[in-house]
Amino acid sequence: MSISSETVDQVKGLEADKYKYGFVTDIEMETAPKGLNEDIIRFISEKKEEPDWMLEWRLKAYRHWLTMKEPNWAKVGYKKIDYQDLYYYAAPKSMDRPKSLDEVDPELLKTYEKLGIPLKEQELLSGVVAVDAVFDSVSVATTYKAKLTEMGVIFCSISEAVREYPDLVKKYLGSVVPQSDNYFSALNCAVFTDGSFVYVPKGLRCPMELSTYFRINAENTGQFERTMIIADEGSYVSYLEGCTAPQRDENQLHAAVVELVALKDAEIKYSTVQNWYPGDENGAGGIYNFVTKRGACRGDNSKISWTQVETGSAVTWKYPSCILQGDNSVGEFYSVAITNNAQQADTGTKMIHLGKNTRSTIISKGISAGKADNTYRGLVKIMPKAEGARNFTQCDSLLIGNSCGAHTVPYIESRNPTARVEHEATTSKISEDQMFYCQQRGLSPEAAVSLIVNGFCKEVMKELPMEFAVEAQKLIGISLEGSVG
Amino acid sequence: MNIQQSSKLPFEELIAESFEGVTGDWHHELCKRGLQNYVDVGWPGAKNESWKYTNLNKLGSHSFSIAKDYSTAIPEDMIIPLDCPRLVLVNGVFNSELSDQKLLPEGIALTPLANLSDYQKTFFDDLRLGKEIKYALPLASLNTAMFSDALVLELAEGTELSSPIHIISIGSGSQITFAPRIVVNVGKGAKLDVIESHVGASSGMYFSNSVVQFNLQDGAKVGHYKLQNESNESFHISLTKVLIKERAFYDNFTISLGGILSRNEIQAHITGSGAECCVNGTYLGAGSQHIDNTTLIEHIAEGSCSREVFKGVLGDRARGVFQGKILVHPDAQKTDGYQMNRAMLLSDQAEINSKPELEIYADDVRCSHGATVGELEEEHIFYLRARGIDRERARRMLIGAYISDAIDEIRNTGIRSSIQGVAENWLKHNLYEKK
Repeated sequence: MSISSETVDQVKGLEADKYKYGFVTDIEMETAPKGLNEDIIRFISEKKEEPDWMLEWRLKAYRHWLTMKEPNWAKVGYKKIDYQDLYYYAAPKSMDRPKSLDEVDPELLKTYEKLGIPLKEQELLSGVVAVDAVFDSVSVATTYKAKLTEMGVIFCSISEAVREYPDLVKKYLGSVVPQSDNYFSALNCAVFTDGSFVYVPKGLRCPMELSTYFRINAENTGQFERTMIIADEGSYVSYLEGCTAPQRDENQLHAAVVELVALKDAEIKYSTVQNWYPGDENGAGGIYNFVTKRGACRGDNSKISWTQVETGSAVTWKYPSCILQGDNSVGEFYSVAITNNAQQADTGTKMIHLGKNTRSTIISKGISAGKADNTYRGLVKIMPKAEGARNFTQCDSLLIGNSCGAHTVPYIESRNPTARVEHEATTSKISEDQMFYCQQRGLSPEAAVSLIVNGFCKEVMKELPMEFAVEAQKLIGISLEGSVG
Repeated sequence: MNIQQSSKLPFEELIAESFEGVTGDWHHELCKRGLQNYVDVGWPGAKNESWKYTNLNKLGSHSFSIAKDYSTAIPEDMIIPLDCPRLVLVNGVFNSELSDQKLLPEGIALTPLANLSDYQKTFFDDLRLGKEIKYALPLASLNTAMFSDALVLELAEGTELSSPIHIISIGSGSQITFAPRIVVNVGKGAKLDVIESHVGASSGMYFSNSVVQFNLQDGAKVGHYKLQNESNESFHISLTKVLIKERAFYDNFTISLGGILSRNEIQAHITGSGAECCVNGTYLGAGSQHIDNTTLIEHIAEGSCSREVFKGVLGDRARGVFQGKILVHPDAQKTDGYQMNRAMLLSDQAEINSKPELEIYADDVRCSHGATVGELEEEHIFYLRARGIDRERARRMLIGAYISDAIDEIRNTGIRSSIQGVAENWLKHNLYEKK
């Protein structure tokens, strides 16, 4: 197809815009020595002024990690990670736990402004979103804290929570993702540096969206954040998570753990737009995103909903899951995963039905372009006591170009006759008819692909909070650049 | 796990014993290669993804001996009732007295293992036993190491047979193991229907480890229908390997009823364009049976299509496994693949594990799969009961209708109704409600 000069210019313009978060912030950093051993863990724990039980907990995880093997069952290939060649702690030097935003290093504030996340409260959409900003290993600022505290909502960095609310942390830490769960989560348990902690008290509907913005800045640093959200009886919270990293030639490791606990009648909505640096066209650089996310619907009638838009990272290994323990509890998973160039994604979910009349819905849309591989891997497990459990799964894959791959690997295990499980999957490509139709109406090929893909993903996008949906839509267009023509 | 830690693999001693009975250099070499492969790959444990849901510890730790007796009578009430020429294997060895080789129509040749031509010998290499764990076939390697006789059938180019050929494998004896090996080569444009019945002559417990190979040359049309009705306590593991060339058509159906543990694995490789491949089946489990259906359909050439429909009914403590994979290679553009597995659980101790998988590397394809699990709809039963049909009969009717969706896929109408009869017979004997 012939491309007009206008289109060429547009594409060139986009090229520059391709990964606009790829800049590096020049700021003085304090790092722990490279490598991983018990001393490093003690160093991190000391930096965080943690109590002894926390240090012991970390060491226990580390000792267990040493006995584990890196998993190799996922359909991803990557260079072996040298765990001794990483920095496990990096923090901006000026960080001496600022009391208010005025004390935060202006360089940091500028960074977040550049990323489109203004931390100055007056600049935020008048009180709709509260943000916790995590820069490498530390939380730099949390907005709207006072207002939230007044209502009884705890929203702070996890380091702060360990110090201020040890009982809550002790009660729930590791209760959803145990230390020994898997290789990367065990590593995270040992060296996690920061992350967000949320507690929503009984019966409260959290008045604003809570959000964390993760940024990896330092070189050769692994980011190991840990997020915990506890929704007490009858409460509701919506939480957003965004992430970016500078453009570098080496791969960087990101191994996070997210634990959600929903008690009786509570609801948690967790949305992610993951846009870590994906590496260049040839697959050099980029983030290894090895994340363990799991939610437990502990109480009856509770609900956990995961929505994710995955466009970044060189390698993604991520399975946000729900353990449906309470009767009538609901688990949802909505996912759009886009891989282009040499990106690889192996992502999906696990829905474990334990309680009676538990329901789960899985909608997964995978888009693969360039030389990328995109795998949906999911498990639906109905345990014998899950009377009347119900699952519906739909995973669709879209292939753009003839050197990419799309794979679907669902596991369905049912041990209760009253359960109903349905799984559907399709794989197709954008048809020439669809392209022709759009182009005939004056759309460029790129715009046409973007439009069609957005239509393909609509079911998932509509689950995103409004502020995120707009950004995610744009992101999809950018991620797929250069995949047609 | 225990098995792997011990120095010898299961059956290793028996392999040595079976080597003594092997005559002919070529056969001996082949067995040695099979053994080497088996040793390299090892006994499949829970960590082996392909055997994740089927635990072979009980089979591996049981002590069997090699079958020595090769004569018995055909258990007529257990096989598919059809009037056509029969070829009978007793404990994996061809039995000419029970077989109708004289009635074989013109154009089809049955060659004894000792008289194989060099060309025919190459069929055995087509098994392509991989060493990589992911593609390894440990039990097929074991078959290659242990088979003592093989049934090699060749249909000449352009021959169209109107009557099917019925291959009957009989397990006779107790605590024995044997390895049936069947090779069918169908020439260009030839047409053939083959029925396989795997049955037990007595209630003895045995292990049948079979490998069946089908080669379809350009434009060949083959119907391949299998009944697995081994005796109650027996183990049945089988691999069916099919090579499908240009414009060839392969229609497969398997009905699994027997055995305490069975695995029916089918690997179809479509290497020619314009080919069509159907792999269908039904599995009916009761008691503490474990029935595994594992399929791989590999689209290697452009413009081929495949269709797969499996339906299962599981009562009592029965466990079903369905693992189906469609693999589309980068060059296999314009592939059309469809796969569906539906299972119905009739008791609260029954279990189904299903893993329908798509692995796709070509963009201009249409592939879809689906899987459902559920129980009999109470409303449907009510509908029938309101019309004066008693509960038990209503259930039987509904379940019968449910599995006939899969049976209806069989292209050969005569064979279809025979298999329908076998299924109905099973329902009559096994469907009673325990409350």
